[in-house]
Amino acid sequence: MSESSAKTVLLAATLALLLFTPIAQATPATYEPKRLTATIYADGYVWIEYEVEANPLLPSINLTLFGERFEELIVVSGDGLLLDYNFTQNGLEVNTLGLTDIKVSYFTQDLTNKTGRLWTFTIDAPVNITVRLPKELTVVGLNKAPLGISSEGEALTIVFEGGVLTLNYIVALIKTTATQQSEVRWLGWLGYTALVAGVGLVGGVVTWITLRRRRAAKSYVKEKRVVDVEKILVSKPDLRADDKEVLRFLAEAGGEAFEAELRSRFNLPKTSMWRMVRRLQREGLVGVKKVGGQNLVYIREEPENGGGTDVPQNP
Amino acid sequence: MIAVKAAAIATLILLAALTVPQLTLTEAEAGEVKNSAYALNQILERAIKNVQTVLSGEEGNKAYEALKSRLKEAETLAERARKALNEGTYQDALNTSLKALNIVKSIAAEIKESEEEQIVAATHSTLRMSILLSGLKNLTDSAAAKGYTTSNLSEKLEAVSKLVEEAKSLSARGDTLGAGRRVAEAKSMLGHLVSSLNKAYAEEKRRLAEEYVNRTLGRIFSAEDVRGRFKEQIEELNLSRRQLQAGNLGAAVAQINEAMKQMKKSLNEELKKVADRIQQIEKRLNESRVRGVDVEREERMLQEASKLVEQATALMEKGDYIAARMRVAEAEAILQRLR
Repeated sequence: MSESSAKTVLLAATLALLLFTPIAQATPATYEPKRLTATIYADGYVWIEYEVEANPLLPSINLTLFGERFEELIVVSGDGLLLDYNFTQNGLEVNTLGLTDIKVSYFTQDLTNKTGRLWTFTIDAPVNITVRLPKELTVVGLNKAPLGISSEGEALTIVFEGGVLTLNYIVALIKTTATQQSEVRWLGWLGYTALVAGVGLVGGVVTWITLRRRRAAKSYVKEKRVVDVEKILVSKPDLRADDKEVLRFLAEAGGEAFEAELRSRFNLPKTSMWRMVRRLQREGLVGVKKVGGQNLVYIREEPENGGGTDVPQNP
Repeated sequence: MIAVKAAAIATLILLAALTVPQLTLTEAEAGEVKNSAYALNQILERAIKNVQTVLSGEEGNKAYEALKSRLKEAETLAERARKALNEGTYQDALNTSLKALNIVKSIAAEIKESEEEQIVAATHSTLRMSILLSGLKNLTDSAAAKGYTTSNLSEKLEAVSKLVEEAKSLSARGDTLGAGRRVAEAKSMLGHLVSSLNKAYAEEKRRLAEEYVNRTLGRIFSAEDVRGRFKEQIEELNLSRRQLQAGNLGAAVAQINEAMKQMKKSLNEELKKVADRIQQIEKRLNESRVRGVDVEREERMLQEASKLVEQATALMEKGDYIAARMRVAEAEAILQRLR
């Protein structure tokens, strides 16, 4: 490498170095911001919790706070010792007495403002800031994307990078998911209870009616007649075999029987028995009357041509 | 020609320097964008849902009908953002969510104020007291753990706790005024409690202050060149020690603060003097060089003194006045030799 090219490289490196040298940031020498948390409330107050690392060589630090008026201000050390402080033009002078972990907490109204329904929270955070919002506060606007989010119940905790943060929110009594779920659960229970009660009631009524009818049917004293069933069967040679059997059973039973008895005897479903009785009725051989809510089927004294007057109730 | 080559190489060096960190940043940023996109999407969905609920509370309001249709736009964008999230295009999801949130914000700005806000605000006034109360409970517990008698403080805390509970229940019943009175009372009691805690800690703070003074004096006395320069401050610190022994914590701390401020002030003045002297010597050396005198050795010594002044300034900014004073003394010694 020649002398001139060596000079060139040296000059270039110096140029690059000069251009690339970071400009020193004006950071407060007495402390270093560590953590910042802001909890926003619906009444416009913000609870600030600001943790800094104080210079142990100094007896006090001059803290720059957020806002101008502070309420319920407390300064504590890392191990919970309450520290003394004085307000200064730029913030707060805290007597740290060589302690390093310092936490300042206070309420301020200076970080929020409201236009109509819309609230705006603004802060210039020297470090990443954690914003906590109770469930009644809904974020509707942000000037930058969050770094992360977590929730505790319905309350939100959002983390943002340091710098100017503008967060818009509204206050509303929104029914929480938990409330909605409990409402749904409650309604579910109510519906279920109502259903059970309804079914029980209907079941009870039906049982009562059935029992009452059965009692009435049981208390009914059947007529005992002698019916010449063979004569009837001869007069109706086209009758189906099972119809004939029903007529025979009725004759044996003294001329009448409840439809339920017929069903049980012939082991037939309700509808089949109903059709059979209807057929015999159309032939004019049997009649049907209601006794205690039950169909009592009886052999007519005089078979009718055409159908009977009573029509058995459709099951 | 050399200048052109230099510029070209400088550009190359700059590009090389920029490329490496950019690659690392891109990776880190990718993860951050993903987290941000997910977080923002959650915020957006919650915002849409809650604004929807607020709007639906005003059925038949024509102005709100228009807002509802605008909210639909935000919903469409939110849907798109969700899709982008699922597809892994996080930057797109982030931008779309921000766009949607802007719409929601503009809608929220048009929603009229309601009574329920006042109700929530009243509830939160008591909620705030709970936060303060729990903080002070922790402080009292920590005082008890350190062996301080805190029984009277615990009683006071109990009374405040009762007031806060009363305020909560009054607020829940809609008695904002009653709740407000309880909150004010609780606030005043908490103020007294803090001052009681402060008194309880007086001894610990006195001990801490004394330790600080001893430590500082110890450092000053261990640095021979410094001792003579901080005579007034040593006197002030000794006075503060006597105040501490007399139990005057406030006055003692004020004295300590004053001593340290004076230390910084005097150091600043010394630094200025040394810097001025360096400038004067530099001027004289330049003149000698012009006359053809060999001043290379003197220039090296001057550079060394300048470096020490720089270090002293940095140390002073960090609050280490004693170490800074030591550097100033070293610089002064060099300048003395140069004379």
